[in-house]
Amino acid sequence: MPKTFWAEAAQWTVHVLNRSPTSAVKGKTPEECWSGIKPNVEHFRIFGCIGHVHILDRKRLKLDDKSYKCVLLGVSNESKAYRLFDPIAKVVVTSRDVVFEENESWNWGRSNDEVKFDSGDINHEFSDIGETEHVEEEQEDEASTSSDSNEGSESTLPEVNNLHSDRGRTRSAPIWMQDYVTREKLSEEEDVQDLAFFMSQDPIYYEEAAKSDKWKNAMDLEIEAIEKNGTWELVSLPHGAKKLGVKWVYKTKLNESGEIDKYKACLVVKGYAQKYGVDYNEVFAPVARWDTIRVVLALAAQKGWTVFQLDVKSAFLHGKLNEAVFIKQPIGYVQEGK
Amino acid sequence: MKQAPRAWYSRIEGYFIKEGFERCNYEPTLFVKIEGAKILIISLYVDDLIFTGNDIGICEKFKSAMKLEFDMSDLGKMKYFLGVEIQQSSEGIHMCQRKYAQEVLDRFGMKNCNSVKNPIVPGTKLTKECGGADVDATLFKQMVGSLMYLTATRPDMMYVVCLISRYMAKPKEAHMLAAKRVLRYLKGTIEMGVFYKRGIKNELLAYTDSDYAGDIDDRRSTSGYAFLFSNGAVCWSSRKQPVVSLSTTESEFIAAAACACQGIWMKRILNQIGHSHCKCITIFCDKSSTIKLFKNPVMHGRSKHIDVRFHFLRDLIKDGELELKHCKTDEQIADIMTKPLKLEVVERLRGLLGVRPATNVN
Repeated sequence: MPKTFWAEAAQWTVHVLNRSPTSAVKGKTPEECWSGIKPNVEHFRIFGCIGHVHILDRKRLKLDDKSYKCVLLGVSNESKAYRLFDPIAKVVVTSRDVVFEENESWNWGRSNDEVKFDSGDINHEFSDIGETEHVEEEQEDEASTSSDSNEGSESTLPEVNNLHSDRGRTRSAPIWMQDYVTREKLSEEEDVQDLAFFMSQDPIYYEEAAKSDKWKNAMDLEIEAIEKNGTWELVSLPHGAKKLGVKWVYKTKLNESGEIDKYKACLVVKGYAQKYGVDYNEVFAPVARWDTIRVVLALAAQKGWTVFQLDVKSAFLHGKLNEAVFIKQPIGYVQEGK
Repeated sequence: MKQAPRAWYSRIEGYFIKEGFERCNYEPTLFVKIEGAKILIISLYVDDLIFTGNDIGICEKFKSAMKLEFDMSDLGKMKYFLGVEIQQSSEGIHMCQRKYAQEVLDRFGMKNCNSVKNPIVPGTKLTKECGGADVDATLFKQMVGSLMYLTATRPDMMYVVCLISRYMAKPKEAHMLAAKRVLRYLKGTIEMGVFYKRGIKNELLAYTDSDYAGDIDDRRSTSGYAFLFSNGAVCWSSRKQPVVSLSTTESEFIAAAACACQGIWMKRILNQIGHSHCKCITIFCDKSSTIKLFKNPVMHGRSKHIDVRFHFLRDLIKDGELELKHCKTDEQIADIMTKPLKLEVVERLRGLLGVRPATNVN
């Protein structure tokens, strides 16, 4: 076989190796390890052997040949079929209906030169599906003459196709697909709109939030609350102490009728970096049980009392910590001198 | 930071105790202050707090004191708390989760579904292996989780939600259909919530019930209870029992014990928040043999293994902490917590639990 089929040979080799036993995994083939399905090897044939590709009845007359000779190249990636090379028409065909002669091989000597010249424009033909696709395979020795030969080869193509494939069929999307919008038809603008539909409006990064006034105000409020409570002081990091990162979290708060209540910016410590015993000892959250809340409500109803509600602003800043915690300065509010 | 909530709790707890509040021993987030005849009750939920009292003056004083001490935003009358909408009127207090329910329906694509009247088809038996292919477990878990939160104001959905939550590990199509039916039921009853009537002087009532070997996979029973106060349910539960019971009497017994535990806790809470004339809780049970088992201390072959719970309940009855009474099966409110019921029974029991639409309140 000419060397132009080197890539095909390599692909077939890999295909076979992946479905063969190996010492790397005991009792399994690599394919089974990957997919979990025991691979079928019934379709294995000798690479480069002769295959007789069946010609569909409607594409031939009564006295024409029922098949034509091809050389096996491997299996198709797209469908459950073999990939073969037709040395006469110089095209790659894909077909399921093939009868093999495994001990025969093509006499390349006769047409070796021709193949060498033309194989740069190996055309893929899917005789089953009836679609024709032109794939120019990249080849180093063809690089110099690429542009001219490409055009030339396409002009010879129709003849080849008329031989074996059905060109009469045009594919159109099924009727039920008309209700759907596929990605290809979307303009870029619509794409962006789609994306916006799925995204929440709250910014994720400081850089994003800093652009709008409402978030800037929210952040100012938060920093103000922190400063007012005397939560932190600016110190230099003691030797050996670790500092925790901080980040901003933005959230639009809605009220009970779904309208925007307020924009809230929270400065949070990246608590996941904290270690038990080092940065904190005990944790607890004062969460009331629903039962309790309902008992209070029921009692209030029975006695005719009114229930009021209060909300503590930046509640967690009021707590006093026993442990010393070092944090980084927040973005946007860095003061000089660490 | 991980310790922030704890630090906050000790701060506010310290403040409340300094101000003369008493922390409830059985519920660390409940604080009560009694000044002569005046009483102020506070329930804390991390940074949200609700408070009520019999005197407007003491409420206002507390509010302004809190504003001085902490940075507070005053939300006025309780309207919206943890996703629950609360309506306070002269008739009583109604709570529902309409907005959250709508969000749940939107999220699972059931916005325009046809509603049904019954959360579960009567006679449904779900099993681990019952029909159909596997479904997306994550989606199923999300559904169950959202519905779980909705049971905070919907005792009528408690049983179904607990039932489907048993199959979260490996949900099948049949389980998904059951979950979707709950969502369709929710669609039809989106405005429903518990209503506590104003000015009703009644005691805490408890109903307990169980089914027998309701779970086909491991033949455990389901115990359910519901507590009524001010004509509305305050506390309810439906849960599969931890042990297999050998008779209906035994499974009712286990349910009664669970109910008693909750009852004692409720009684202590009520006593602490100034409803002190609550001495003895009445538990209604529709199985006379269970009640007889308490009254006559006979130990025979069929009941001797129910040892611990038996003594626990007997002691409570002897001390006068609770009382077990018989009621007819059709008055048994806790039925709705343990089995799939027919439509008219569901509607009747739902009314008895105080579940009604928000619009009917005014």
